[in-house]
Amino acid sequence: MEIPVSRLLIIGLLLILLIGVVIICLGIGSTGISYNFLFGALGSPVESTIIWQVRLPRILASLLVGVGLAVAGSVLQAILRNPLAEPYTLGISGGAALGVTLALIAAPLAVLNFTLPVAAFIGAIGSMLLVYLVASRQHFTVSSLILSGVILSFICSSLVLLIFAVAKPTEVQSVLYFLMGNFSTVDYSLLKVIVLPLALSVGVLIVLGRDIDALSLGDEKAMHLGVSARSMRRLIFVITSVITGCCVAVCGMVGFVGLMIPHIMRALVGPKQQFLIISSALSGAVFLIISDTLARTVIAPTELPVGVITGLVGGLFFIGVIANAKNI
Amino acid sequence: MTAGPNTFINDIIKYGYGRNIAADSKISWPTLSVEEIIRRNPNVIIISDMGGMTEQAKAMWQEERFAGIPAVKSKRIYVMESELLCQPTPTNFIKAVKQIWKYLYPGY
Repeated sequence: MEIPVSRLLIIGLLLILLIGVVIICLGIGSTGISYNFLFGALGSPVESTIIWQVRLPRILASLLVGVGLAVAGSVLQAILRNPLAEPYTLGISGGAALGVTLALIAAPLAVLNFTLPVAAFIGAIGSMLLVYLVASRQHFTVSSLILSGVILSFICSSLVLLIFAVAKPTEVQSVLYFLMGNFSTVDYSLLKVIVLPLALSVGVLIVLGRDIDALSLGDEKAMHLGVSARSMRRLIFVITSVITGCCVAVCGMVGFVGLMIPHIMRALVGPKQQFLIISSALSGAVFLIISDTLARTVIAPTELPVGVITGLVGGLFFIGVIANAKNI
Repeated sequence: MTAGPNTFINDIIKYGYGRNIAADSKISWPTLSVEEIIRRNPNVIIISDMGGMTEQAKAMWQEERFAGIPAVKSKRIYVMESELLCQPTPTNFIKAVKQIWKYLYPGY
């Protein structure tokens, strides 16, 4: 297979950009720390705790979630042939959030690190299944998918509000803050739990890249190319639910990363999934790391939920996509 | 959420001869980031919440990764009853001041 040099160049540049952003953002925060830490010179134990125990896990978490959401968005947009598809608009994030809310209020503290991703996955796969059932009756038309996704999101948030109404008011505040999308309490233990399923899922999707390409041509053409549309679509739905579940378990609902990043990358590297997945993964990570760094510094020493930043940037982008789309 | 300046909790800390790490905040009830709390290097951490989350917060601070903070190193993380700290009736106010003074100066 011939690989165009320009695409490899873009991917290489993105990789360098990602490494650069990780290093720069490690040094940015409400506490001024000189970049000497790169050379192993740390002034005080306070600085080393801040860099390695507070900022680094946050940056790694944003990296993982950025990769996951962007890849999920890219793949969903291809297999559903729908420019507006992503975990957030399809209601998968909403379902995962419902699962997390239930787990946070019901589960005992000790097992939380393992229950959160599992609960999020169950919520994600449940809502994915519902959207699938409703939209498959309409042959996955663009409007039926997005509408059922949006409505499912509403149903999930109503259920979350119902839980809030009957839960203890003190539990509500922390869950609410969590659901707004925020990385402030991330530590390494939760990251260890999600890194493996996330990496495996993304790896499988890259391997399946060519089948996804076939699927994006439509069911009939996919069949002629030897890809069974139904079973492939189901498999990919399960994988994207795993990814979304992992992401929501780490940081709650972070919207629009999966919508915006694949669109930009498609303009840069074209629609071929293997390139699109890799470049979306890299740039999704860059985008979310920058967003989270903004979230923890714009009104320092207080911090914003990162969902506020991605929601504002991505929401405006979403409106732009709708305004410019010719036939939705 | 932390009690900043112009709050009764700040007054309670002051009367207990303590120094509030959030006293220089611009708003009364700031939500300090974890990083900011570490930078301010507290000698004592007092947690109070009208409900369930206090033990969770305490468990977070007791993690190995925060062992560099004086309050964590010397195991001076206290959970204070919210009835005492967060409902400032005249008698509660005095009791809370005494309690905080005991946390801050255990030897006396």
